Amino acid sequence: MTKTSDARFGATKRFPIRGHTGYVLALLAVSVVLMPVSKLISPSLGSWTTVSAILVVSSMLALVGFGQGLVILVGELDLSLPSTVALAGVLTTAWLSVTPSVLTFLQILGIAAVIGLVNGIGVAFLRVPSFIMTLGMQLIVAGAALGYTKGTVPGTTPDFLASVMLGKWWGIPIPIFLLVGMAVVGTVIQQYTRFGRKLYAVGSNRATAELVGLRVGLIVTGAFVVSAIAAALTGMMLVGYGGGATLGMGDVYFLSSIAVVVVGGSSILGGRGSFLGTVAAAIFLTTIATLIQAVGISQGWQTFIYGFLIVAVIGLLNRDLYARAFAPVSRLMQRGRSAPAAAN
Amino acid sequence: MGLALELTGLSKAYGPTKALQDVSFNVVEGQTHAIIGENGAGKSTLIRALAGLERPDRGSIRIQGRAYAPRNLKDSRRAGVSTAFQDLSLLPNLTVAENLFLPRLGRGLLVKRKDNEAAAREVLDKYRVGHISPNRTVDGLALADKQKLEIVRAISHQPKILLLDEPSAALPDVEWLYSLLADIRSSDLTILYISHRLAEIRDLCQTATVLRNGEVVDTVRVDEADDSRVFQMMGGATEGHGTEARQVRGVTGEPAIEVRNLSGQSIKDVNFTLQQGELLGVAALEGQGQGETFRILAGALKPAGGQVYVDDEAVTLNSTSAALRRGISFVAEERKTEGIFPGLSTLGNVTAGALRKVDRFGFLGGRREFASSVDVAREVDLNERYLRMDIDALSGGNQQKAVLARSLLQGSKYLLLYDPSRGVDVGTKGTIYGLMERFVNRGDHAVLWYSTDLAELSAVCDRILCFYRGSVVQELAGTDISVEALLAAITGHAGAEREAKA
Amino acid sequence: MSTAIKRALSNGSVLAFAILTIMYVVYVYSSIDVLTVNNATDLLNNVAPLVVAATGLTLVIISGGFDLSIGGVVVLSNVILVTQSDTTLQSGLLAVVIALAAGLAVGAINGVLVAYLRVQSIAATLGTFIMCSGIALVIMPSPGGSVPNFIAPGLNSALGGVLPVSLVVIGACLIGWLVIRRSRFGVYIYALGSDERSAVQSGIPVAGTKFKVYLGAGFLYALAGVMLTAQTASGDANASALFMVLVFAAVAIGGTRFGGGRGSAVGSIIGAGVLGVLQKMLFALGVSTFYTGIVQGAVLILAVILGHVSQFAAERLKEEETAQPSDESTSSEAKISSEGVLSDQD
Repeated sequence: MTKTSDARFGATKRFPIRGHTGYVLALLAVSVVLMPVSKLISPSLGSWTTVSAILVVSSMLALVGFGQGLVILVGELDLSLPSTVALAGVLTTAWLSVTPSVLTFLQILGIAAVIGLVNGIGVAFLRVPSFIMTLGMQLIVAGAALGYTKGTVPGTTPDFLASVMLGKWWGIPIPIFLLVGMAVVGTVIQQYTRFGRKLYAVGSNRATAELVGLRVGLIVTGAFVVSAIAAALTGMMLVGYGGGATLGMGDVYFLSSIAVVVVGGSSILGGRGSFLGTVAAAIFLTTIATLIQAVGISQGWQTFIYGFLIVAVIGLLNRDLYARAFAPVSRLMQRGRSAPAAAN
Repeated sequence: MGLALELTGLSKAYGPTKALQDVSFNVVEGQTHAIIGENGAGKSTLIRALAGLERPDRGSIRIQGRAYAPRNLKDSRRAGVSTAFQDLSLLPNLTVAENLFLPRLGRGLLVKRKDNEAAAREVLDKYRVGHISPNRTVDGLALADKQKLEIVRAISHQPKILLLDEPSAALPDVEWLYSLLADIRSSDLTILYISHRLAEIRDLCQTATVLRNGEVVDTVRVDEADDSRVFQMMGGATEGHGTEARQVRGVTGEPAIEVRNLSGQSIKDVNFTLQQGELLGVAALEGQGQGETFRILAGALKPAGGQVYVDDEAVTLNSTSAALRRGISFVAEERKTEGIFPGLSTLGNVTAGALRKVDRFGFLGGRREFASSVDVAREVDLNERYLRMDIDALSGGNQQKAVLARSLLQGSKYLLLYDPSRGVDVGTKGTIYGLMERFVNRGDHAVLWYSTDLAELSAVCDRILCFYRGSVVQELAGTDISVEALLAAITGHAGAEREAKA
Repeated sequence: MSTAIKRALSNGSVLAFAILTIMYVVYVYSSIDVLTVNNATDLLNNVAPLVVAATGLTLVIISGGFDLSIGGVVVLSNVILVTQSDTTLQSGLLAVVIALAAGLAVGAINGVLVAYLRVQSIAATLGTFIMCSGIALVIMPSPGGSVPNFIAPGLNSALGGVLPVSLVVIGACLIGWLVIRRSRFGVYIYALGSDERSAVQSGIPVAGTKFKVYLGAGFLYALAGVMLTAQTASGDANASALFMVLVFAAVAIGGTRFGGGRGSAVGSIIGAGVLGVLQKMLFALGVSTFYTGIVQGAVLILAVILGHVSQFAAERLKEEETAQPSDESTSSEAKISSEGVLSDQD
């Protein structure tokens, strides 16, 4: 009897992690439909140039979303990403253009790792709520970047970054290859490594994770470290793409890094989600942003839509929520039905 | 005299677990009626349904002949029902007076502190707890005083029907409660009294309803039922669990885990030895210190004093991973909150505790992870097709099998199982017994097993520790084991039982 | 630690007040013209928006939730004031009314999401925060604009040349808080922040109380936006993050525990004062404005950690108090350990 009741539920899972393939494909499908539709709005849209530009911008949003996604996966938030992106960008133009070596590259990533480490220690061991810890860190790092530059960013764009971000292979912009590579590597890290699995476990149920012997504090810290490193890499990509660094270059990611993860189908409470979802959401959100620009309405609508999508997706993916939202209605219907039953 | 309370066909299910099944009984006005049953018999659900905190799926309640279907606590108070909850519903950061008068807190827009405290003073004096000062916050009170306050609060609403859920659980003596109940007794006050202490029930109640597994076993007059009959009704008939079925297993006598003078928040001087090859049972009512003992051994709590020896070596278990390194795995009682990883597949749930054993160069998801999970899944009789499913989609029994499979995969020698068979179907229960048997027969392995089901404990174990009020009050072994003896021991009647035998 | 120190540490407001006093003394020594009326009014003007918003957030936090929508509502109120008013008094008043109504509306949305649909408060208010930021950007895409005179400098000046408006606002927050603290509603907030289950079992209308908390908080954030506009005299839809940090820090310094059931708006008001003095002090000490962000971020984090220390002290103090029987009635009973099992029976 138990067997039949179990078999009723869902299809068997290929992956050890809850799949949401349908949702991810739907996001991509909507993006694909929107791209040519946008041609109706503005003839310049929908062309290969626009589409590839959307994908290039998506690649950076996807990378910063990868880090935020890991932090959200363990049930925390990282609000220090914007300034980490900016600091890495500033250091890239200041240091990497002067001494373009692997060591310099690693130094910049190392500084980002320290930011993530401090975040992690504060959250996991000193029990500071993550949005407080990382918001404080956002100010500190932004202050450090401001103090270091005294307001004017020194240096120039390292040539190889520009050639990667603006270059093409067989007519296709290199960042699109990066996006595909990221999708693969990110998915493997998140879903097919020990580290990734531990993140799911901790986010799914911290108490159980503790009881089965997982070192929750270290795992949470690890998520913040990876998040900061991903942000630093994003900063470098932005420098290459935009041809320089500004102190405000990461600000767009304050909200969009969260939006891309949540819209990608990850639970904001942790424990559920996939990086492929984030990648799809990055393309989807960037498409919408492009459309909004093309229509010529205010940038603000973009932010508003991001916020609305977050609330909507949280509701959409939470069946309990629907039940509660419609509870008054169904109660009324039930009353109607049970009235004759009560009579006898 | 009319009926104060009529329950007809009350049922309530949480998913597959049936907390109440077709519960029907009546209580005559002015009587004190006892509800008796083991843990998980459905007593608390019944109370919560009567208090308006839980809506029954089916059935009806009538109070003095009028239909009663409360939707919240307020409705129940309006109907004259008042409850003293077992898990004390006092707010620790509010004062005694505020707690006493919630949610009304007197007339007017502002809460008049002085007036409330004066009124509280009166109430406290009237109900013989004048030593509690009304302007203190509740978190500073001793537990017994909190319990008294919970009861006084329920009485102070002048109910027609008073629900007392384990009112004496935290009281050092029952004198206060007896005299209080004598004071308020009247022909319009009906009391529903929930307790596991038979002596109190004999002193206070005229009638009693015995619940088992959410069903009414019988409603009896208290003076017509003797103790052994009541115990028998609570524990269920012991048919099929004959003592001859028990056989001596390969207990080596080598100590596996030894506990000396362990003390902590709720335990004091706990001593016992788990031997290799042994399946040692633990019997207790809820909250008698067995939970803390298990958690200390699992490395999830720190003891205040005492020493734990594992394999004859003094150890400090300051984390769960430290306990795992010593070969101790723990399965907690609450499957939902401390057992499963919702959202992960069953496979992910099984391997989460031993990722190093199933990975290949740090990578997971391959054949190796699946193959090693299939092995342990087979041991717990979990069909391998479930491994690919979300754990949320499995029945409680299969979830429990997955949790047990996880602890097997960890490869520990010693298993601490905290009520693994609660809320699972009969088939899974059998699987769990078989698993434990095979596990301890591996030679140097051992299991410490707590269960709320005394019948299964007495049928499966050769030796059982009985916890009561934070200590091991009795150890039953061999032919001394019976449901009645266990019940007596865990309800504090250990001495009496022994005298009766002598 | 001695009991006296522990007692001081355990009371958030006392602790915050001590910090405020020390900082003010340092500030006074570091600068010559501090003790002028102008300077004091300036300080009050600076902290008034912070005080109002922190009072609102304190209500939410005591009730066991959190509210990220502050930043959104504050900028929304700010841009509404700037764009919906010209120089006339009527248009200005109307803009204030619209701004406050917007705050109430956002508060109501938060309230429905958290209290009735039981969305986790951080998730719900994150969504409304982002939406409000977006609407603010739509209303006013680039910073600038101006406000009617009665807002700036009106709200920065003194009534009849004696009583600064910001002092009135701060006083109103304080009095409002003290009234709430003594009302039934106030008791409910503390109750449901400490233990929601017990609150339900005590008959407290949990959902309704939560809804009112978010509604009131939304109103206060909008009012904070009005006060902030008086300071900046212009609109900026992107100014939310820094202000939010300051509000969080004010609450944390004031000793309100994140998690609920404990704390007081008095502490938060003092916390806002600490931040105000800190800003002045940094300026007086000649610290470059480049580094004020660093200090503010560090203060926020340290305040929360200090809060943990304070809470730890409070718990130890409680343990000590319960450990020693205070009167003869408790000593006559068997001693009872904290988890609830008698360790001594007869």
